[in-house]
Amino acid sequence: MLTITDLKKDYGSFRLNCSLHVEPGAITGLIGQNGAGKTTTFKAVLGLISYGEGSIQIFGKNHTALTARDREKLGVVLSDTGYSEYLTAQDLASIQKAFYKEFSSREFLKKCKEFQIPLDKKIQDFSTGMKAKLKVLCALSHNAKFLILDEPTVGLDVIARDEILQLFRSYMEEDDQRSILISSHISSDLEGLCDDLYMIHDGAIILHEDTDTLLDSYGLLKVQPAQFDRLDKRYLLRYKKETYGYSCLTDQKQFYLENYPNLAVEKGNIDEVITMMIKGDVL
Amino acid sequence: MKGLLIKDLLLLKNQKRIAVLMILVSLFLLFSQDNNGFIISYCTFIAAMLTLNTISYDEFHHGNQFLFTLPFLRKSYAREKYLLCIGSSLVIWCISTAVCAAVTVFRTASAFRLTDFLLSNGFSLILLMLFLSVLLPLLLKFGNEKARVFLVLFMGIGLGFCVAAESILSQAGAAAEDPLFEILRFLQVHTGAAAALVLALMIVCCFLSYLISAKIIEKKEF
Repeated sequence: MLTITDLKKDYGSFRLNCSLHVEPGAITGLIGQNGAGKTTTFKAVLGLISYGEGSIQIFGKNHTALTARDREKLGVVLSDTGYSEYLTAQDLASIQKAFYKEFSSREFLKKCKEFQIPLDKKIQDFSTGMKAKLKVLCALSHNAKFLILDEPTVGLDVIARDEILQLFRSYMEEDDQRSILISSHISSDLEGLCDDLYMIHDGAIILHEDTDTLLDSYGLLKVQPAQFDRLDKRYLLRYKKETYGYSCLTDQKQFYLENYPNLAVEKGNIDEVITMMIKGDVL
Repeated sequence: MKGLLIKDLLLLKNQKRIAVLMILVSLFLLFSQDNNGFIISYCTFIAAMLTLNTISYDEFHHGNQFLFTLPFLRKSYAREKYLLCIGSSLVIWCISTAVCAAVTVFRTASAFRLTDFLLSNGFSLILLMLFLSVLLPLLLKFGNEKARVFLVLFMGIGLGFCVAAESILSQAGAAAEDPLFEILRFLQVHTGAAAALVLALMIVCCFLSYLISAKIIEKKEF
Protein backbone atom coordinates (compact mmCIF):
# COMPACT_ATOMS: atom_id res chain seq x y z
CA MET A 1 0.00 0.00 0.00
CA LEU A 2 2.77 2.39 1.02
CA THR A 3 6.52 2.02 0.73
CA ILE A 4 8.90 4.72 1.89
CA THR A 5 12.50 4.01 0.95
CA ASP A 6 15.38 6.01 2.44
CA LEU A 7 13.39 9.23 2.64
CA LYS A 8 15.68 12.09 3.55
CA LYS A 9 14.55 15.59 4.42
CA ASP A 10 16.64 18.29 6.10
CA TYR A 11 15.17 21.02 8.28
CA GLY A 12 18.15 23.01 9.57
CA SER A 13 19.87 20.70 12.05
CA PHE A 14 17.04 18.13 11.92
CA ARG A 15 17.34 15.32 9.39
CA LEU A 16 14.59 12.85 8.60
CA ASN A 17 15.93 9.52 7.38
CA CYS A 18 13.11 7.05 7.22
CA SER A 19 12.05 3.81 5.54
CA LEU A 20 8.63 2.35 6.18
CA HIS A 21 6.23 -0.14 4.66
CA VAL A 22 2.48 -0.58 5.06
CA GLU A 23 1.06 -3.91 3.86
CA PRO A 24 -2.41 -4.21 2.33
CA GLY A 25 -4.83 -5.23 5.08
CA ALA A 26 -2.56 -3.96 7.88
CA ILE A 27 -2.72 -1.19 10.43
CA THR A 28 0.73 0.27 10.90
CA GLY A 29 1.51 2.63 13.76
CA LEU A 30 4.14 5.33 13.86
CA ILE A 31 5.08 6.38 17.36
CA GLY A 32 7.57 8.91 18.64
CA GLN A 33 8.06 12.01 20.73
CA ASN A 34 7.07 15.51 19.65
CA GLY A 35 9.46 16.64 16.94
CA ALA A 36 10.62 13.08 16.21
CA GLY A 37 9.60 13.36 12.54
CA LYS A 38 6.13 11.80 12.43
CA THR A 39 4.33 14.78 10.91
CA THR A 40 7.21 15.46 8.51
CA THR A 41 6.92 11.85 7.31
CA PHE A 42 3.16 12.24 6.83
CA LYS A 43 3.60 15.54 4.98
CA ALA A 44 6.15 13.97 2.64
CA VAL A 45 3.81 11.03 1.94
CA LEU A 46 0.94 13.43 1.20
CA GLY A 47 3.09 15.54 -1.13
CA LEU A 48 2.85 18.63 1.07
CA ILE A 49 6.62 19.04 1.26
CA SER A 50 9.50 18.18 -1.03
CA TYR A 51 12.37 15.97 0.08
CA GLY A 52 16.01 15.54 -0.79
CA GLU A 53 16.45 11.83 -1.43
CA GLY A 54 14.50 8.59 -1.38
CA SER A 55 11.21 7.48 -2.82
CA ILE A 56 7.59 7.18 -1.73
CA GLN A 57 5.28 4.72 -3.44
CA ILE A 58 1.54 4.67 -2.81
CA PHE A 59 -0.69 2.09 -4.53
CA GLY A 60 2.45 0.99 -6.40
CA LYS A 61 2.98 4.45 -7.96
CA ASN A 62 5.40 7.23 -7.15
CA HIS A 63 3.34 9.52 -4.92
CA THR A 64 3.94 12.52 -7.18
CA ALA A 65 2.36 10.60 -10.07
CA LEU A 66 -0.94 10.02 -8.26
CA THR A 67 -3.91 11.33 -10.20
CA ALA A 68 -6.91 13.02 -8.60
CA ARG A 69 -8.75 9.71 -9.05
CA ASP A 70 -5.96 7.87 -7.18
CA ARG A 71 -6.13 10.40 -4.39
CA GLU A 72 -9.83 9.66 -3.96
CA LYS A 73 -8.67 6.33 -2.53
CA LEU A 74 -6.88 8.13 0.31
CA GLY A 75 -8.58 9.20 3.53
CA VAL A 76 -6.61 11.74 5.53
CA VAL A 77 -6.84 13.07 9.08
CA LEU A 78 -4.27 15.64 10.22
CA SER A 79 -4.01 16.57 13.88
CA ASP A 80 -4.22 20.34 13.86
CA THR A 81 -6.04 21.07 10.63
CA GLY A 82 -8.99 20.05 8.50
CA TYR A 83 -11.76 21.67 6.50
CA SER A 84 -12.32 25.37 7.21
CA GLU A 85 -14.01 25.84 10.57
CA TYR A 86 -16.39 28.36 8.99
CA LEU A 87 -18.17 25.47 7.29
CA THR A 88 -20.83 23.16 8.72
CA ALA A 89 -21.08 19.36 8.58
CA GLN A 90 -23.88 19.80 6.03
CA ASP A 91 -21.50 21.92 3.91
CA LEU A 92 -18.87 19.18 4.12
CA ALA A 93 -21.36 16.69 2.70
CA SER A 94 -21.80 18.91 -0.39
CA ILE A 95 -18.04 19.43 -0.76
CA GLN A 96 -17.15 15.76 -0.28
CA LYS A 97 -19.82 14.77 -2.80
CA ALA A 98 -18.14 16.99 -5.39
CA PHE A 99 -14.67 15.64 -4.61
CA TYR A 100 -15.35 11.90 -4.24
CA LYS A 101 -17.27 9.69 -6.65
CA GLU A 102 -17.89 7.06 -3.97
CA PHE A 103 -19.03 9.49 -1.28
CA SER A 104 -22.42 8.70 0.18
CA SER A 105 -24.14 11.79 1.60
CA ARG A 106 -26.86 9.68 3.17
CA GLU A 107 -24.35 7.46 4.99
CA PHE A 108 -22.23 10.43 6.07
CA LEU A 109 -25.18 12.38 7.45
CA LYS A 110 -26.47 9.25 9.18
CA LYS A 111 -23.08 8.76 10.86
CA CYS A 112 -23.03 12.44 11.88
CA LYS A 113 -26.40 11.99 13.59
CA GLU A 114 -25.21 8.76 15.21
CA PHE A 115 -22.19 10.60 16.67
CA GLN A 116 -24.34 13.60 17.65
CA ILE A 117 -22.57 15.99 15.30
CA PRO A 118 -24.77 19.02 14.61
CA LEU A 119 -25.29 19.48 10.87
CA ASP A 120 -26.03 23.22 10.76
CA LYS A 121 -23.55 24.47 13.33
CA LYS A 122 -20.18 25.88 12.22
CA ILE A 123 -17.24 23.58 12.99
CA GLN A 124 -15.58 26.40 14.97
CA ASP A 125 -18.33 26.03 17.59
CA PHE A 126 -17.77 22.27 17.99
CA SER A 127 -16.07 20.67 20.99
CA THR A 128 -12.63 19.10 20.45
CA GLY A 129 -14.24 15.66 20.44
CA MET A 130 -16.82 16.61 17.83
CA LYS A 131 -14.15 18.12 15.56
CA ALA A 132 -12.04 14.97 15.79
CA LYS A 133 -15.01 12.71 15.09
CA LEU A 134 -16.06 14.81 12.11
CA LYS A 135 -12.55 14.65 10.62
CA VAL A 136 -12.56 10.87 10.96
CA LEU A 137 -16.06 10.54 9.50
CA CYS A 138 -14.97 12.60 6.48
CA ALA A 139 -11.96 10.33 5.95
CA LEU A 140 -14.14 7.22 6.22
CA SER A 141 -17.01 8.48 4.09
CA HIS A 142 -15.76 7.81 0.57
CA ASN A 143 -14.67 4.17 0.58
CA ALA A 144 -10.96 5.01 0.83
CA LYS A 145 -8.49 2.16 0.42
CA PHE A 146 -5.83 3.70 2.60
CA LEU A 147 -6.18 5.93 5.65
CA ILE A 148 -3.36 8.25 6.67
CA LEU A 149 -4.06 9.41 10.20
CA ASP A 150 -1.79 11.83 12.02
CA GLU A 151 -2.76 11.94 15.70
CA PRO A 152 -6.48 11.40 15.10
CA THR A 153 -7.23 11.01 18.81
CA VAL A 154 -5.18 13.92 20.16
CA GLY A 155 -6.89 15.90 22.92
CA LEU A 156 -9.76 13.45 23.33
CA ASP A 157 -11.09 11.81 26.47
CA VAL A 158 -11.07 8.03 26.88
CA ILE A 159 -14.65 7.52 25.69
CA ALA A 160 -14.25 9.64 22.55
CA ARG A 161 -10.94 7.92 21.78
CA ASP A 162 -12.53 4.53 22.10
CA GLU A 163 -15.38 5.52 19.76
CA ILE A 164 -12.91 6.68 17.13
CA LEU A 165 -10.72 3.59 17.43
CA GLN A 166 -13.85 1.46 17.04
CA LEU A 167 -14.58 3.31 13.78
CA PHE A 168 -11.15 2.31 12.47
CA ARG A 169 -11.69 -1.32 13.48
CA SER A 170 -15.07 -1.40 11.70
CA TYR A 171 -13.50 0.23 8.63
CA MET A 172 -10.86 -2.52 8.47
CA GLU A 173 -13.42 -5.30 8.97
CA GLU A 174 -15.39 -4.18 5.89
CA ASP A 175 -12.55 -4.93 3.42
CA ASP A 176 -9.40 -6.96 4.07
CA GLN A 177 -7.41 -5.00 1.46
CA ARG A 178 -7.73 -1.69 3.29
CA SER A 179 -4.79 -0.29 5.25
CA ILE A 180 -4.14 2.38 7.85
CA LEU A 181 -1.02 4.33 8.74
CA ILE A 182 -1.59 5.99 12.09
CA SER A 183 0.53 8.07 14.44
CA SER A 184 -0.27 8.74 18.06
CA HIS A 185 1.29 9.85 21.30
CA ILE A 186 -1.07 7.56 23.16
CA SER A 187 0.59 4.17 23.09
CA SER A 188 -2.43 2.30 24.45
CA ASP A 189 -4.38 3.39 21.35
CA LEU A 190 -1.79 1.84 19.09
CA GLU A 191 -1.29 -1.29 21.20
CA GLY A 192 -4.90 -2.30 20.77
CA LEU A 193 -5.17 -1.31 17.12
CA CYS A 194 -1.95 -1.80 15.15
CA ASP A 195 -0.54 -4.90 13.53
CA ASP A 196 2.96 -3.49 13.51
CA LEU A 197 4.70 -0.46 14.92
CA TYR A 198 7.51 1.82 13.86
CA MET A 199 9.26 3.90 16.49
CA ILE A 200 10.81 7.12 15.26
CA HIS A 201 13.33 9.24 17.15
CA ASP A 202 15.33 12.26 15.92
CA GLY A 203 14.13 11.59 12.39
CA ALA A 204 15.26 7.96 12.30
CA ILE A 205 13.32 4.71 12.68
CA ILE A 206 14.80 3.06 15.76
CA LEU A 207 12.52 0.03 15.95
CA HIS A 208 10.06 -1.85 13.77
CA GLU A 209 8.19 -4.75 15.28
CA ASP A 210 4.89 -6.64 15.11
CA THR A 211 2.70 -5.44 17.96
CA ASP A 212 2.09 -9.01 19.15
CA THR A 213 5.83 -9.74 19.23
CA LEU A 214 6.48 -6.49 21.04
CA LEU A 215 3.91 -7.26 23.70
CA ASP A 216 4.75 -10.98 24.05
CA SER A 217 8.53 -11.18 23.63
CA TYR A 218 9.77 -7.80 24.84
CA GLY A 219 10.31 -7.35 28.54
CA LEU A 220 11.96 -5.14 31.06
CA LEU A 221 14.46 -6.72 33.44
CA LYS A 222 15.02 -4.98 36.75
CA VAL A 223 18.37 -6.12 38.10
CA GLN A 224 20.78 -5.23 40.88
CA PRO A 225 24.42 -4.47 39.96
CA ALA A 226 25.63 -7.96 40.96
CA GLN A 227 22.87 -9.61 38.90
CA PHE A 228 23.68 -7.35 35.98
CA ASP A 229 27.32 -8.45 36.00
CA ARG A 230 26.32 -12.15 35.83
CA LEU A 231 23.59 -11.61 33.21
CA ASP A 232 23.82 -13.05 29.70
CA LYS A 233 23.68 -9.84 27.74
CA ARG A 234 23.24 -11.29 24.24
CA TYR A 235 19.52 -10.51 24.14
CA LEU A 236 19.59 -7.11 25.76
CA LEU A 237 18.71 -4.25 23.42
CA ARG A 238 19.26 -1.37 25.84
CA TYR A 239 20.15 -0.84 29.51
CA LYS A 240 19.73 2.12 31.83
CA LYS A 241 21.23 2.93 35.22
CA GLU A 242 18.61 3.15 37.94
CA THR A 243 18.76 3.81 41.71
CA TYR A 244 18.36 0.09 42.42
CA GLY A 245 20.79 -1.08 39.75
CA TYR A 246 19.83 -1.40 36.07
CA SER A 247 16.73 -1.74 33.94
CA CYS A 248 17.31 -3.69 30.74
CA LEU A 249 15.16 -4.04 27.64
CA THR A 250 15.11 -7.44 25.98
CA ASP A 251 13.29 -8.88 22.99
CA GLN A 252 13.75 -12.42 24.45
CA LYS A 253 11.81 -12.15 27.68
CA GLN A 254 11.22 -15.92 27.82
CA PHE A 255 14.96 -16.62 27.78
CA TYR A 256 15.48 -14.63 30.97
CA LEU A 257 12.34 -15.99 32.63
CA GLU A 258 13.59 -19.55 32.09
CA ASN A 259 17.27 -19.03 32.86
CA TYR A 260 17.07 -16.44 35.61
CA PRO A 261 14.00 -17.36 37.68
CA ASN A 262 14.94 -14.87 40.42
CA LEU A 263 14.97 -11.86 38.11
CA ALA A 264 12.16 -9.31 38.13
CA VAL A 265 10.89 -9.39 34.54
CA GLU A 266 8.08 -7.06 33.53
CA LYS A 267 5.93 -7.50 30.45
CA GLY A 268 6.88 -5.08 27.71
CA ASN A 269 4.60 -2.24 26.70
CA ILE A 270 5.09 0.44 24.10
CA ASP A 271 5.81 3.24 26.57
CA GLU A 272 8.58 1.30 28.28
CA VAL A 273 10.04 0.05 25.03
CA ILE A 274 10.17 3.52 23.50
CA THR A 275 11.59 5.06 26.68
CA MET A 276 14.33 2.44 26.83
CA MET A 277 15.06 2.66 23.11
CA ILE A 278 15.49 6.44 23.39
CA LYS A 279 17.06 6.87 26.83
CA GLY A 280 18.82 3.55 27.29
CA ASP A 281 22.41 2.77 26.32
CA VAL A 282 23.49 0.16 23.82
CA LEU A 283 25.70 -2.58 25.23
CA MET B 1 -12.19 21.83 -9.30
CA LYS B 2 -15.92 21.48 -8.73
CA GLY B 3 -15.29 20.58 -5.09
CA LEU B 4 -13.07 23.64 -4.60
CA LEU B 5 -15.64 25.90 -6.20
CA ILE B 6 -18.42 24.53 -3.99
CA LYS B 7 -16.22 24.96 -0.92
CA ASP B 8 -15.54 28.61 -1.79
CA LEU B 9 -19.17 29.37 -2.58
CA LEU B 10 -20.15 27.87 0.79
CA LEU B 11 -17.47 29.99 2.47
CA LEU B 12 -18.75 33.07 0.67
CA LYS B 13 -22.12 32.37 2.25
CA ASN B 14 -20.50 33.53 5.51
CA GLN B 15 -19.98 36.97 3.99
CA LYS B 16 -23.57 37.52 2.96
CA ARG B 17 -23.91 40.45 5.42
CA ILE B 18 -21.17 42.35 3.58
CA ALA B 19 -22.86 41.55 0.27
CA VAL B 20 -26.24 42.81 1.55
CA LEU B 21 -24.58 45.97 2.90
CA MET B 22 -22.88 46.49 -0.47
CA ILE B 23 -26.22 46.23 -2.27
CA LEU B 24 -27.91 48.68 0.14
CA VAL B 25 -25.10 51.26 -0.14
CA SER B 26 -25.12 50.90 -3.94
CA LEU B 27 -28.89 51.38 -4.12
CA PHE B 28 -28.66 54.43 -1.87
CA LEU B 29 -25.92 55.94 -4.05
CA LEU B 30 -27.80 55.02 -7.22
CA PHE B 31 -30.94 56.88 -6.24
CA SER B 32 -29.35 59.75 -4.29
CA GLN B 33 -26.73 60.87 -6.81
CA ASP B 34 -25.67 60.45 -10.40
CA ASN B 35 -22.28 58.74 -10.15
CA ASN B 36 -22.49 55.47 -12.06
CA GLY B 37 -18.71 55.07 -12.32
CA PHE B 38 -18.30 55.03 -8.58
CA ILE B 39 -21.18 52.59 -7.98
CA ILE B 40 -19.94 50.11 -10.59
CA SER B 41 -16.34 50.30 -9.33
CA TYR B 42 -17.50 49.97 -5.72
CA CYS B 43 -19.61 46.83 -6.38
CA THR B 44 -16.97 45.18 -8.56
CA PHE B 45 -14.18 45.91 -6.10
CA ILE B 46 -16.16 44.58 -3.11
CA ALA B 47 -17.04 41.41 -5.05
CA ALA B 48 -13.36 40.85 -5.86
CA MET B 49 -12.34 41.42 -2.25
CA LEU B 50 -14.95 38.96 -0.97
CA THR B 51 -13.74 36.22 -3.29
CA LEU B 52 -10.07 36.98 -2.52
CA ASN B 53 -10.93 36.41 1.14
CA THR B 54 -11.43 32.72 0.36
CA ILE B 55 -7.62 32.44 0.07
CA SER B 56 -7.37 33.66 3.68
CA TYR B 57 -10.07 31.21 4.73
CA ASP B 58 -8.01 28.41 3.15
CA GLU B 59 -4.88 29.50 5.04
CA PHE B 60 -6.60 29.81 8.40
CA HIS B 61 -5.65 27.13 11.01
CA HIS B 62 -3.11 25.64 8.54
CA GLY B 63 -6.12 24.74 6.39
CA ASN B 64 -4.03 24.45 3.22
CA GLN B 65 -2.22 21.44 4.70
CA PHE B 66 -5.46 19.48 4.74
CA LEU B 67 -6.92 21.07 1.62
CA PHE B 68 -4.01 19.95 -0.54
CA THR B 69 -4.51 16.31 0.49
CA LEU B 70 -7.91 16.34 -1.25
CA PRO B 71 -8.29 14.82 -4.71
CA PHE B 72 -7.47 17.68 -7.10
CA LEU B 73 -4.38 18.69 -9.02
CA ARG B 74 -2.48 21.66 -7.66
CA LYS B 75 -2.93 23.77 -10.79
CA SER B 76 -6.69 23.26 -10.42
CA TYR B 77 -6.48 25.31 -7.22
CA ALA B 78 -4.97 28.28 -9.08
CA ARG B 79 -7.49 27.85 -11.91
CA GLU B 80 -10.39 27.80 -9.48
CA LYS B 81 -9.25 30.97 -7.70
CA TYR B 82 -8.94 32.84 -11.02
CA LEU B 83 -12.30 31.57 -12.16
CA LEU B 84 -13.92 32.60 -8.89
CA CYS B 85 -12.28 36.03 -8.49
CA ILE B 86 -12.32 37.13 -12.13
CA GLY B 87 -15.63 35.43 -12.88
CA SER B 88 -17.47 36.94 -9.93
CA SER B 89 -15.97 40.40 -10.61
CA LEU B 90 -17.14 40.17 -14.24
CA VAL B 91 -20.62 39.03 -13.23
CA ILE B 92 -20.98 41.79 -10.62
CA TRP B 93 -19.61 44.38 -13.08
CA CYS B 94 -22.19 43.25 -15.68
CA ILE B 95 -25.06 43.33 -13.19
CA SER B 96 -24.10 46.71 -11.68
CA THR B 97 -23.49 48.18 -15.15
CA ALA B 98 -26.87 46.90 -16.38
CA VAL B 99 -28.69 48.32 -13.34
CA CYS B 100 -26.90 51.68 -13.60
CA ALA B 101 -27.57 51.81 -17.36
CA ALA B 102 -31.26 51.07 -16.81
CA VAL B 103 -31.55 53.82 -14.19
CA THR B 104 -29.67 56.27 -16.46
CA VAL B 105 -31.99 55.44 -19.38
CA PHE B 106 -34.97 56.02 -17.11
CA ARG B 107 -33.54 59.38 -16.00
CA THR B 108 -32.15 60.72 -19.28
CA ALA B 109 -33.43 58.53 -22.11
CA SER B 110 -32.46 60.87 -24.93
CA ALA B 111 -28.88 61.53 -23.82
CA PHE B 112 -27.97 57.87 -23.18
CA ARG B 113 -25.42 56.22 -25.50
CA LEU B 114 -24.65 52.58 -24.60
CA THR B 115 -21.17 52.53 -26.21
CA ASP B 116 -20.05 55.62 -24.32
CA PHE B 117 -21.53 54.24 -21.13
CA LEU B 118 -19.72 50.90 -21.48
CA LEU B 119 -16.43 52.52 -22.47
CA SER B 120 -16.43 54.97 -19.59
CA ASN B 121 -17.34 52.33 -17.02
CA GLY B 122 -15.20 49.55 -18.48
CA PHE B 123 -12.13 51.35 -17.21
CA SER B 124 -12.85 50.27 -13.61
CA LEU B 125 -13.12 46.64 -14.73
CA ILE B 126 -9.80 46.80 -16.58
CA LEU B 127 -8.10 48.37 -13.56
CA LEU B 128 -9.55 45.70 -11.29
CA MET B 129 -8.38 42.90 -13.59
CA LEU B 130 -4.86 44.34 -13.58
CA PHE B 131 -5.06 44.64 -9.81
CA LEU B 132 -6.17 40.99 -9.50
CA SER B 133 -3.46 39.88 -11.93
CA VAL B 134 -0.86 41.30 -9.56
CA LEU B 135 -2.54 40.47 -6.26
CA LEU B 136 -3.48 36.82 -6.88
CA PRO B 137 0.08 35.53 -7.42
CA LEU B 138 1.25 37.60 -4.43
CA LEU B 139 -1.47 36.14 -2.21
CA LEU B 140 -0.76 32.60 -3.34
CA LYS B 141 2.99 33.01 -2.92
CA PHE B 142 3.24 34.97 0.32
CA GLY B 143 -0.12 34.55 2.04
CA ASN B 144 -2.48 37.26 3.17
CA GLU B 145 -0.23 39.17 5.60
CA LYS B 146 2.91 39.48 3.48
CA ALA B 147 0.93 40.07 0.28
CA ARG B 148 -0.50 43.28 1.78
CA VAL B 149 3.02 44.68 2.13
CA PHE B 150 3.75 43.87 -1.50
CA LEU B 151 0.41 45.38 -2.47
CA VAL B 152 1.28 48.69 -0.83
CA LEU B 153 4.60 48.60 -2.69
CA PHE B 154 2.81 47.83 -5.95
CA MET B 155 0.36 50.69 -5.44
CA GLY B 156 3.27 53.04 -4.76
CA ILE B 157 4.94 51.97 -8.00
CA GLY B 158 1.61 52.32 -9.84
CA LEU B 159 1.12 55.83 -8.47
CA GLY B 160 4.67 56.76 -9.46
CA PHE B 161 4.00 55.40 -12.94
CA CYS B 162 0.81 57.50 -13.22
CA VAL B 163 2.63 60.67 -12.13
CA ALA B 164 5.40 59.99 -14.65
CA ALA B 165 2.85 59.26 -17.40
CA GLU B 166 0.98 62.50 -16.66
CA SER B 167 4.21 64.44 -16.86
CA ILE B 168 5.11 62.79 -20.21
CA LEU B 169 1.61 63.39 -21.57
CA SER B 170 1.62 67.06 -20.63
CA GLN B 171 4.96 67.43 -22.43
CA ALA B 172 3.47 65.57 -25.38
CA GLY B 173 0.53 67.96 -25.31
CA ALA B 174 2.93 70.87 -25.53
CA ALA B 175 4.61 69.35 -28.57
CA ALA B 176 1.77 68.08 -30.73
CA GLU B 177 4.13 66.35 -33.15
CA ASP B 178 5.30 63.97 -30.40
CA PRO B 179 4.76 60.29 -31.47
CA LEU B 180 3.07 59.46 -28.13
CA PHE B 181 0.61 62.27 -28.70
CA GLU B 182 -0.04 60.91 -32.19
CA ILE B 183 -0.81 57.46 -30.76
CA LEU B 184 -3.16 58.93 -28.18
CA ARG B 185 -4.93 60.99 -30.84
CA PHE B 186 -5.27 57.86 -33.01
CA LEU B 187 -6.77 55.90 -30.15
CA GLN B 188 -9.14 58.78 -29.36
CA VAL B 189 -10.43 58.73 -32.92
CA HIS B 190 -10.58 54.92 -33.18
CA THR B 191 -12.27 54.22 -29.86
CA GLY B 192 -13.29 50.67 -30.82
CA ALA B 193 -9.72 49.69 -31.70
CA ALA B 194 -8.46 51.23 -28.47
CA ALA B 195 -11.03 49.31 -26.43
CA ALA B 196 -10.15 46.04 -28.21
CA LEU B 197 -6.44 46.66 -27.61
CA VAL B 198 -6.93 47.33 -23.89
CA LEU B 199 -9.22 44.30 -23.61
CA ALA B 200 -6.63 42.09 -25.30
CA LEU B 201 -3.90 43.42 -22.99
CA MET B 202 -6.12 42.72 -20.00
CA ILE B 203 -6.70 39.11 -21.11
CA VAL B 204 -2.97 38.59 -21.71
CA CYS B 205 -2.18 40.00 -18.23
CA CYS B 206 -4.73 37.71 -16.58
CA PHE B 207 -3.45 34.67 -18.46
CA LEU B 208 0.21 35.40 -17.64
CA SER B 209 -0.78 35.97 -14.03
CA TYR B 210 -2.58 32.60 -13.98
CA LEU B 211 0.49 30.82 -15.39
CA ILE B 212 2.66 32.37 -12.67
CA SER B 213 0.14 31.43 -9.96
CA ALA B 214 -0.12 27.84 -11.19
CA LYS B 215 3.69 27.57 -11.02
CA ILE B 216 3.69 29.06 -7.50
CA ILE B 217 1.08 26.59 -6.25
CA GLU B 218 2.79 23.61 -7.86
CA LYS B 219 6.01 24.41 -6.00
CA LYS B 220 4.50 25.56 -2.73
CA GLU B 221 5.15 23.58 0.46
CA PHE B 222 2.66 23.38 3.29
